[in-house]
Amino acid sequence: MNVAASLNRKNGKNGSNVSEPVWVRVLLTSVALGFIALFLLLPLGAVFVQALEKGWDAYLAALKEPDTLSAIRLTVITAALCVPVNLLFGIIAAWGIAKFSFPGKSLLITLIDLPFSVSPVVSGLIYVLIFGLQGCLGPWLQAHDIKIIFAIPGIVLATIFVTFPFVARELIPLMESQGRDEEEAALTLGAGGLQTFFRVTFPNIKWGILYGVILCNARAMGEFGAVSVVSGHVRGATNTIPLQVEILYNEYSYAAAFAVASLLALLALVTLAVKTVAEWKIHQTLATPGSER
Amino acid sequence: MSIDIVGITKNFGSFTALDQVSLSVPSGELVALLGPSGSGKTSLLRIIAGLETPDSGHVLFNGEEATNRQVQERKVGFVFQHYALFRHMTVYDNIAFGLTVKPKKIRPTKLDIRDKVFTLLKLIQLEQLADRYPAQLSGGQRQRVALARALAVEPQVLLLDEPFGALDAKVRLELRRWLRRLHDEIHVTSVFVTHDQEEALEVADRIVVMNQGRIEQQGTPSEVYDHPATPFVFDFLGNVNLFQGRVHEGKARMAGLELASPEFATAHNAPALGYVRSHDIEIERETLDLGALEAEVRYVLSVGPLVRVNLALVDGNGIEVDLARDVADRLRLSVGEKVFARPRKIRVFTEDYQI
Repeated sequence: MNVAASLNRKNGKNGSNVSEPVWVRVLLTSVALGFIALFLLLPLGAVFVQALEKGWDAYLAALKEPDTLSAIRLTVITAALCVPVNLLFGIIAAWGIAKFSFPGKSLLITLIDLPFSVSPVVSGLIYVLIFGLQGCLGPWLQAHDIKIIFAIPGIVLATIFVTFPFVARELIPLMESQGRDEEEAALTLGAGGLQTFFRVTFPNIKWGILYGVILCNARAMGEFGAVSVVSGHVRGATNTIPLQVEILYNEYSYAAAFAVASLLALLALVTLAVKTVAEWKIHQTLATPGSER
Repeated sequence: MSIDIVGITKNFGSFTALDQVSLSVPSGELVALLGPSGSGKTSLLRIIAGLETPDSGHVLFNGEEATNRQVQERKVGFVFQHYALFRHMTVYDNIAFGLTVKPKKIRPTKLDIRDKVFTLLKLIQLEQLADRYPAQLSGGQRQRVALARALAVEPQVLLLDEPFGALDAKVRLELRRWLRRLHDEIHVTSVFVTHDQEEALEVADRIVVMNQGRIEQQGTPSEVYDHPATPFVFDFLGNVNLFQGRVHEGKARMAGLELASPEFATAHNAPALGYVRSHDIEIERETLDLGALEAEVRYVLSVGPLVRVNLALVDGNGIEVDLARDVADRLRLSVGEKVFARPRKIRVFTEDYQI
């Protein structure tokens, strides 16, 4: 440790020959820090300050309001359905893309990215056009008394669409960088496909999976645009947390709106913490390779 | 177990990795697939292992068709160039892996697995490192663990892909001698891929020289080295000097030399190439007959136990001569000096590579 520290110090000294003058470094760092403070920390702080403006009791009361509780419940249900679906899809897609080559591979990668490039509102509209009353499946669904648009299934479908790149996007580069050698070694040692996955592949990507899941979950809970289009804003029935925040805000109950919003802000902080740990662990798995590549 | 490769062809897109390759490896032999990168040697090894499927042709194990056998059923031990150790498992768990994934009915007990792993650890002389992770091992140790892991399932065939390629020169030398001794002990049919001719010559019972997806020559190390069948093999095994000339009715003329080459008795003024290994040339100050070439010393380099002399011939072409250190010390060559170079052995090939 001491050796490393002294080496670092030495490098720092030697490095001054090639680095910028002090005032440039200070200026650049303070610009970056100032920007973060102004655009990230200040609003985040404001959310909590506003939420607690009328005191702790008012804060709790706002959260206990039946419509809000229903919104929280719906959000949790949506995330609980979306995340496993996208986890499964993400692992399968990443496995296929990273470990095999097949025609149409780059097309598949592009398609996985599609939800990132399409405005969430458009994603929502697509579902309205398919499942809505005027949509192509609408009459058939109505005849069979199945409600998708302006009901929970629509919200879940729209959220799945918007969040499906997260796990796959996280795993593809990770699995590609790890290569196929360990899996092939497992096969030559007699392991079957599932044994290979659970005993060799999974341990190497578990932190990547966690990272993808946490991002996917944050987005699933926070999604506004797509859900807004398909939800129909029925109070106490089809409102998720972000929609509830909007409604409260539009009704000028600022404290309540910020109280609910603080839940999402907390989620963001937790996400950030888990993400940091996961990234550190991923870096560790990549830095302790079974190979010297 | 014997391996027979019959007419294997493999293309990757428009690149032909293997072109109608046939090869037999008798049971218990240690065979080297030797060739430059892109010669198809690794593809061939992976096809034997079942990690790659050939476009056409057959793989037979003990005379039985095995082309479509699953990797897991082939009972091959495969050692990867970059070891491919399971990075999240200890050395012990790595070696035990092949035993612990066996179906319950035939899986050894925990105690038996333990015995087996420690026997292997003893074999690779790493008993005290059982609890280490691969990242905590040196390259040579990792490669030995990879070998022990492959041997744990008692494979019928051991396949090694450039097993020493990523190691430094000294460890590589030690490990390949160790592999040779190991093979003499356990006699499992083994095929290893290498681009290092010295490694192949030293370790293998038999060498298969590959080039551009085809087998150029196969034989014992001395056969391949002393009687190269093609110019490629001659060139690939060791340092070579090239002379251009012609053959006419059993006589070859090149660079001012005339040699008898009875194998070309029917040739009529055909263009030919003469190959001479750089250590098959003597340097003399004076000459008595016509078997030597006049030359000028361009530079003299000391390469470990050898002294490499670069000569310019009268026709302007350069040749390289490797002299033993004591010979060079006796000659004391100086740059610019006129000398005579006498090839001891010239191998003549005509341009269509027929002998």
